[in-house]
Amino acid sequence: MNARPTLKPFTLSNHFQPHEDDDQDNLDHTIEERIIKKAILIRKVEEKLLELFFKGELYGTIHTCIGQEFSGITIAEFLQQGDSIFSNHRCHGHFLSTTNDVHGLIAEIYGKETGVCAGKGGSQHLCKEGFYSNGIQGGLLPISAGFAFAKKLNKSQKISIVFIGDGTLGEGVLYEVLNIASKWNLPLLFVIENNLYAQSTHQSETLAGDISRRALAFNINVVKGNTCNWKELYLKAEKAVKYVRESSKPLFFQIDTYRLAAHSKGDDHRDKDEVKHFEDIDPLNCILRNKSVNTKDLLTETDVIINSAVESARSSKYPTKKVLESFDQLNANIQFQPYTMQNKEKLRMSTSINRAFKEIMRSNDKVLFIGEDVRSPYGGAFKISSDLSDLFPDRVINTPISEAAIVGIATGLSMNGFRPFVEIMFGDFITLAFDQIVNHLSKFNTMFNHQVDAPLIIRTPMGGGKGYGPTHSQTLEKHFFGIPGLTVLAINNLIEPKILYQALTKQNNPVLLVENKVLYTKYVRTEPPHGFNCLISNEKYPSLIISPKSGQIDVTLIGYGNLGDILTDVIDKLFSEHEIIAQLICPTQIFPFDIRPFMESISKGRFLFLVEEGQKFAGFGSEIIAQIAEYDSTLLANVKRIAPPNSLIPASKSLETEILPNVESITQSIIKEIYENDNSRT
Amino acid sequence: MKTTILVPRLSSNDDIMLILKWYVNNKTCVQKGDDLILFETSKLAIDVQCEGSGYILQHCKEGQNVSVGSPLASLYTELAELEKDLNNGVDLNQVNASVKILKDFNTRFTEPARKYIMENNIDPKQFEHLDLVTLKIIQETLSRN
Repeated sequence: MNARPTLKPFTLSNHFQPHEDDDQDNLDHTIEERIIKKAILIRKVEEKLLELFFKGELYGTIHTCIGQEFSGITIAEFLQQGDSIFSNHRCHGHFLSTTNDVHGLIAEIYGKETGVCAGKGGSQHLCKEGFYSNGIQGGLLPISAGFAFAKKLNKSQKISIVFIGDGTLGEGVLYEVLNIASKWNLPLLFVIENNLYAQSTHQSETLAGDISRRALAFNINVVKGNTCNWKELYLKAEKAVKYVRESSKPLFFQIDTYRLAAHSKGDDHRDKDEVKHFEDIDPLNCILRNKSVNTKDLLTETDVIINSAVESARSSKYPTKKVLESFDQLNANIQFQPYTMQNKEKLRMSTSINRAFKEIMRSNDKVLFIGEDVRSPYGGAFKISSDLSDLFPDRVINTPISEAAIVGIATGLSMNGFRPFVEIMFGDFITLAFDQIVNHLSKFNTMFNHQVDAPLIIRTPMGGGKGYGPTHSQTLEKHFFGIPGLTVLAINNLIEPKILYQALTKQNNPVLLVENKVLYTKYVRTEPPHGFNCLISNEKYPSLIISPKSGQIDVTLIGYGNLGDILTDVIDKLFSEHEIIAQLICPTQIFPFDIRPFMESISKGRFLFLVEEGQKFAGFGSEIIAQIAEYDSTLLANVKRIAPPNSLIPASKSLETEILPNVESITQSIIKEIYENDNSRT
Repeated sequence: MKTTILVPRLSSNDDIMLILKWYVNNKTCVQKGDDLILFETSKLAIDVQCEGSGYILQHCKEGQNVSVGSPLASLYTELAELEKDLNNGVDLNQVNASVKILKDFNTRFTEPARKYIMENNIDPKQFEHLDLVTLKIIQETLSRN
């Protein structure tokens, strides 16, 4: 049996044909010449790039838009200063339409420091003066919506434009953004360049239904045009941009087009006759062939520009490694000093965090609180935003259940001067926003050569202990360790939350803030156990050490988050009942993290225990052990990780209690380890 | 001023000793070097001399087994102060003194240490310079005395 889908026979007329009477869309001569000039420039730049690639002079890859040039050009004709343009892997045409920066583009693709992103982005990752592109299909959609939202909040009458291809219609995040853009009336122009193919797969194999009806289903108006009739497209683009700008509503602009060159450099498996057909009707080919415009001078002029840019790029320097972010010296100057716990009032953590938000939102009107069901009367699943929307009705924003879009939109807001705090209702759901965090939020600052900051704070409750079962109880932050550009923090109840939340409003790079959900109902600790001192580091997000006031330290415990509370009880119990003197190291910043400032403290104890609620394989404890092994392996004579078994988190109370680390189980593990390895105690 | 006289360690083998005889009575003024008490260890009977001068208030009786390090007596520079303590109902046997002092102390004792102190009638004040005291610390301290 043949399992291949039966393809709808492809007919060229299904896509587009040039108007018989092209003169019906006469444009001003100056405009016409400007557009043709740009089209020639884009075409020739990309042909040059392909030539350089085939010569082996360029490294990496490119995706040309040869045949599609009029799409970006006609839209760009109506841009204003302050508008933002988002593109994708096939971005050169959009970039040149918007910025006209041939030198910056070519140098970037050469990987030179004079490139628009100093060679860090390359062909697919460009940024200049409101133009952004990224290589993840549809990934910039929510960012573009965030920009549109920022423009709306600022009442600026500026708009966002996002270019996607028909292949991106398969990405779920598109529908999250269509929904929100419509519901929130965002000034966002979706431009769908329908070139029929996703790489080499024809859309008849992968695309169900009608393209434009997708937008209509979200109550978004649709305009259709094509690059073949580019003068008509120009007029439609004018109306489209005007509609979005003046109505502050999204619009879905479907532009049928055809890519004449391969998806990338040479990977073309399309029917040659089909490609030939579109080459014949390609408007720029027609212009160049028919010489209806004086193209000779334009071509000469373009060659001069391109050759100059190529020569300039060739002679430019390659960037040095120092342009890349490095956290190697992160904790070099960390020092500890005695800390008197500030919180004199008996407050639950949830109340304390809620109060912190009231304070920071009162003092900084750029702080936004965004999440699912966060407004009154519900106030969030864990009531962190209780009453906030009553106090700040325009700055506490309920969203649909669209984690990727929420994070992306908030990323866009953060790049526009806002200080958004996104709440992901359960930490388990953050997997739905993983792409936004890994491929967008965390990369932008470095990838775009520090032209942008994205100080977004993503808060989420992690952890078990509530009986919520396998998909609402996980501790997943370890999956975010090792993502350059991202900071991962975990709150604990040893320091007052407002210290952290206030510092977060001055953060320059994105943060994933882990709030263990069991902590919410615990009280902020007011003092360390009797006989113990508390030390605090001078980090922006301080680490705490609870150490004995006297005596030889037997055991060092390291744990963060709710384990800060649990392990404080453990050191109390170890001392009181088991004659074991322990100290606790509780970091707040868990990535990036450098163990060296803590090595002196660790050296005071004979045993080292790394305690985790998440899976220990490749976890925080593993990282600590690896770092200690690198710097002073003698400290690893007696080391053990304490963590749940390799299992999901069961809903059953008895099972969950059995597998999650708690005071008793941790204490018993420590005692067992000590008495098995310490002859002096036997 | 009052100072506490603790049961000294007289033998490395004996943590507990029997009081055979007090050489001085309560409220007696003693001088440094005077014979104070006769202990019986596992090997022999040993006289212990007073290390200071003042009026004596016994905390243990003849025939009682006492732990090394536990309060043996108090030595007052003023008789009136001794009388006042007596009138306030200071328990001569100090059975509950350790408990009371443990509660008032800033020093924190482990449960085994606390139990040991109470069972052996040890004066916890000798550990007041420490913040955390384990049974091991007590035993090491007592072995040094």
